[in-house]
Amino acid sequence: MPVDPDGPSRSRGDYSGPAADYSLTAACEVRGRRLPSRVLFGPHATNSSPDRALGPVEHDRARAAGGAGVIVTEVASVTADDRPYEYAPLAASCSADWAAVAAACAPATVLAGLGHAGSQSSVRGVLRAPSSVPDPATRVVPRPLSPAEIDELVGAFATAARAAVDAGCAGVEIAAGQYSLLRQFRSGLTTPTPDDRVLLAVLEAVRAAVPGAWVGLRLGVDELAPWAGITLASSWGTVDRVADLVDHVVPVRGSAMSVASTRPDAHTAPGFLADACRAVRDVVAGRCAVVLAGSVVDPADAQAALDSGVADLVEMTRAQLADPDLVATVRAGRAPRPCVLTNQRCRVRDVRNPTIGCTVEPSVGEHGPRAGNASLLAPGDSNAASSAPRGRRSDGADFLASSARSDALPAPEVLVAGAGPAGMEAARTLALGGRAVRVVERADEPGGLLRTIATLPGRHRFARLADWYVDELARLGVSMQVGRVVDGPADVVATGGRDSDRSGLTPLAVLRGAPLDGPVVIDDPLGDGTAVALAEHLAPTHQVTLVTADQVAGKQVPDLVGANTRLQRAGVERVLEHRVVERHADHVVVADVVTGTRRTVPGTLVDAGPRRPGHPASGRLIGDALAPRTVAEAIREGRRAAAEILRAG
Amino acid sequence: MLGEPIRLGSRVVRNRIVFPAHLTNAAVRNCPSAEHAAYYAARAAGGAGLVIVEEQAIDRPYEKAVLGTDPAVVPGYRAITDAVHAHGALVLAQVGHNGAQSSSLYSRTPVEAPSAIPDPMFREMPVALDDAGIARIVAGFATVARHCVAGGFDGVEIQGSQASVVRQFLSPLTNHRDDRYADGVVFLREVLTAVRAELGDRVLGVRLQGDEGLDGGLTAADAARVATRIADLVDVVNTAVGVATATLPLIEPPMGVPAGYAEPVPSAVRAALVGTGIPVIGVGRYTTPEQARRALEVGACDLVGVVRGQIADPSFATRALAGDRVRRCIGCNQECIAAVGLNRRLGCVVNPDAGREAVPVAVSRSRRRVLVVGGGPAGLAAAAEAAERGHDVHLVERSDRLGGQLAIAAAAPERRELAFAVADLAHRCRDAGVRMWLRHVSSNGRCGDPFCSPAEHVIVATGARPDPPSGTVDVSDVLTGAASPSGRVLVVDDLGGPAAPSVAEVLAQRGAHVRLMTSGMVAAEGLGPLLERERWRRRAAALGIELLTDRVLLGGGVLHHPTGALEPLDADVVVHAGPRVPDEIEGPGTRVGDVLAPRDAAAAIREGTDAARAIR
Repeated sequence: MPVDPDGPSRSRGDYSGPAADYSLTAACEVRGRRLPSRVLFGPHATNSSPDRALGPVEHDRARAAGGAGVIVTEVASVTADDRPYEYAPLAASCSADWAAVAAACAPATVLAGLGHAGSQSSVRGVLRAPSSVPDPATRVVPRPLSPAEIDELVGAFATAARAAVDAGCAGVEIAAGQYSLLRQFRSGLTTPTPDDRVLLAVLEAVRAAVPGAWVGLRLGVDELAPWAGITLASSWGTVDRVADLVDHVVPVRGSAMSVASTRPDAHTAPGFLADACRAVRDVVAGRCAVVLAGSVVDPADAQAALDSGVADLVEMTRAQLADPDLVATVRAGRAPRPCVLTNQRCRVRDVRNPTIGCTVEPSVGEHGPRAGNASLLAPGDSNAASSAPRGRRSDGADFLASSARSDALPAPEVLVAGAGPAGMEAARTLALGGRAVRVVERADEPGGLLRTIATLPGRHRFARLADWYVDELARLGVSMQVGRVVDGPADVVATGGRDSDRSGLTPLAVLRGAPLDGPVVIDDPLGDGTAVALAEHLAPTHQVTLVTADQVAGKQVPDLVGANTRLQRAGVERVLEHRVVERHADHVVVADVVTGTRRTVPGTLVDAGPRRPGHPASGRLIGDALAPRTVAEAIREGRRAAAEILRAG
Repeated sequence: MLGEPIRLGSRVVRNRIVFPAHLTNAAVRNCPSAEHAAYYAARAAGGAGLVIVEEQAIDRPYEKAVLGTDPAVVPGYRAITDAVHAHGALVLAQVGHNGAQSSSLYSRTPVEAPSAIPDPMFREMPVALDDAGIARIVAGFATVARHCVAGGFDGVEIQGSQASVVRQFLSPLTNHRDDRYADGVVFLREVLTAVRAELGDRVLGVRLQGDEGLDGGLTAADAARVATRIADLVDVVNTAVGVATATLPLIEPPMGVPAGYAEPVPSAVRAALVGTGIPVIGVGRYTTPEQARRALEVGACDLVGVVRGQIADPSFATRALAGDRVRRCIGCNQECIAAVGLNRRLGCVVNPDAGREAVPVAVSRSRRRVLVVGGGPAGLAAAAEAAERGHDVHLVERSDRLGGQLAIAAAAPERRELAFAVADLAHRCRDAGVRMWLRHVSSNGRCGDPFCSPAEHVIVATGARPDPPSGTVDVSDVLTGAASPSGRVLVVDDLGGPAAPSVAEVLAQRGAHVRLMTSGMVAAEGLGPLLERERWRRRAAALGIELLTDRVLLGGGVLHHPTGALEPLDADVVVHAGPRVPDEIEGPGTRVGDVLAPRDAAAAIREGTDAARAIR
């Protein structure tokens, strides 16, 4: 698996903004359908409907309004016995919501995601699967489907497709990639007799049930398990057979043994499916459209894929979570808010059932009955062709327009202390709301911790986020003063947190160049990814030990398996289920958290424990200044603080 | 003594058996549900004197919390209190705020706590509460109390123990303040005063933490001191040990921990409150009437909290007072604590109706000849339920003992109480007149008795059999004694549950040099949610069991899959815990339990019960 493809990006030179004349964002005709753009918003778990229907329509409507060409709704189970996660939609409960999404998203093409997770499910009863092979995650032994049950399943796909089209969807996308019974039937990992007969039967039945509708297919073409699983080479026959049955195919990868590989984080280079996609496109030879998926988050990459014949359409799901107006923004010749590819908030297949969110775009998941607060305002004006900062949306951003109405009496300048993500988000939102904004930053450049974090493996895209903010503030006429501190009260205090008062180096000190010779011991009481990333960062040059009280390293990291695998491959020693009990200049003493057994670990201590809140200044404290947490909280509180100021007028 | 009424402030409880607060995950859209009402009513109908409904939250700590500050909860409260009162029990609602023992996952707002100290489990830096924040939380307690009054509760209990901002104020580990709230009792008194103003003469209780299980944390003496300082404000004091997010196994210990392990706490509080007339509730894995009775007799407490015992047997109190046998909780923690911890609905291995009390069970009007094939938990549950519903039931079991895999598993250390489940099912079968045929197999729907007429309904519960890779010994053979591996033994765990760790321990006790290996990232991982893993790890360390992770057998050696490193097998014997295969038989019949798909005892007992209820 490629690690850190472009390495830490400290400079601006590696990235140029998109161009307004991209074919990616132009209206087009594909297989007789008029699409507003070649950008697809793919199916993803949202945990937003306890009724097993779809979540609030705003989630899809915002992407359609922002220019998405094709929207595939969250995969709905075609039979009631399938429940891959608690709030997984059930096709029989989705008709009203399919109708609402289809109506709300015109002129985008709306397809209903349909599937069955087979052994990758989580029901309390009996799992149904091609064979009795248990899922590696749950280890639950399923019951093999009988021929009669397979017939019923095929019929259920057809029934669900009919219902979706009757509800107003342009068609369906059949799930045969990750979390799919149809993939399991094709894989030697999950059945002793792998073949594509069930998949073909489903596609034929669906075709017959919805003649004239669009039928798409998300197809696993590489399970990354060549000893038994589906491989690219073993997929060509299937691709050839399905090409005549479907309108589009999205090649994807991964199996139950590698769930994180399907929508991986930034440790995997974006565009990793490009070669597979091009090969699929060669096989189908124009018989259906081919969609490039796989961490495509930069418009330039998506355009390059179209230009080089890799695909006809590009799936940019996470990119459109990060910026709902991605297509419109690109059309306007600007860079969309960048997805940072951490999966921290959007990967919601978790027993806690978090509603979908986004590290960089706080409005994601803020709609509907499960949202915790009054809606955050929508992201802003980014698809307005004019550069005049004005509100334009009605869904939660009314105050932008109303504040604009008060132009007769200019509102006073808003002073924001700190140019990290919290302060810059606040400043941008205020500027979009029509306010004059001045940001004062103590350091010599804006960005706060973003640029420091970006030097860590898998975090390089945070530098792009910092660059984006700087560009946006400049575009919006925000006054930025660096190398200064605010004297007197600020309207928004986003001055960040402080180092802890514990002994030992901090990860930030190490990243900023504190001398560090010989072996290193990282004490990680948080498991939030900082220590894991620092260990990876230091492993090439130091002998690194990571100490955690948890049973794994990086307990809170979305891709736990990937993180622990990378650490072990890098030669990092993980001292699990231990706690640092003594700190010395050149070694620490650790104790087993259960047995209390002690041992000595040589090395210089780096303390990856919690930072402290910032100075208890007066004013509206946000982000780490309030309580050191993650970038997501910083941005959310920046947005919220700005909204409050704008509402107050 | 258990049956003696006792006064709580203005109210009288009919007996000494309490159903204390615990999470059920039965909330629907953060409101009380019909499941809640049926669940609590079942324990009231079963004779409990006092029911304390789970936490009504001021904050938003976990997904299925009931958010008591929302006025929408009141109709649901009314449904609960009417249902409980109909059976003569008193009902309180627990009210709580989780402080730092929470995350912003659901609220999307910062977590708040006495001091900026992250919780060991949630690890989210909280914002230290200022005076306005404290006033807001105190008002939140009052708001919930007001809703509880409107909903018909007899009073409330303030959560000040396992997951609570009150405990965080009281504990020196989490309160580093230098203002007047440095004394956490100041905060608690403000809460109690505000809540008392809403309650009038209704019952006000508080649940106090008596052993955080953490260095420098609260102790029984602290609980006693706090109790004396709030005695003027409360009618009853409940007790607890353990912090939900740091020392959870102390709160809900597994079957290896004896009843009464927490008794020092209520004892100390009771001693401190002598003369005040305030009764004290004790808890601590009291799962049988004898244990509950003994706790009163030794003077540890005035009322006894029985949670898991009443989950397992809703009629625990009635049976205890009548001297009847109860269906025993086996302390397995699988469907209650583990399930709730995994955000699922509370259930119970031995009581398949727990958590689904609101689902109606149709009455049987027929008497059918029923043959149950297989005497494991699925078959025993099917036979007992069918016979109790009036059917004529025969059960055939191929072996010479009942209980199937469950009986075998009970042979392992600290798993002995699994056998209680088998014994209690067998008792039910006998009491209901099931005819048992051990060492028999069925043929054509007939039981072993040549004079028995063919069954009208057959339930097949033949279980599953091991399918170990060639050259390896199955774990069940070690537990039954069929195999006695010695020397250097590698136990390969492809299940992740208790089987492999149990067998590793058995073998180490027998003197083998044991390594436990898993393909996963964590050894004995499945013991974690059951809250057994710490105890097991301690015993395993004492026995010198080595733990290997991220490894699989490959050819004649071992592959460390993250790195691709090949290691020698280095074992005389390989013992294997892996998926079993259904033990199918010819002929028609409803399949239940492992023969349908090899899973666990909860599925077996639930499916056996349901199959019996489906007989028309």
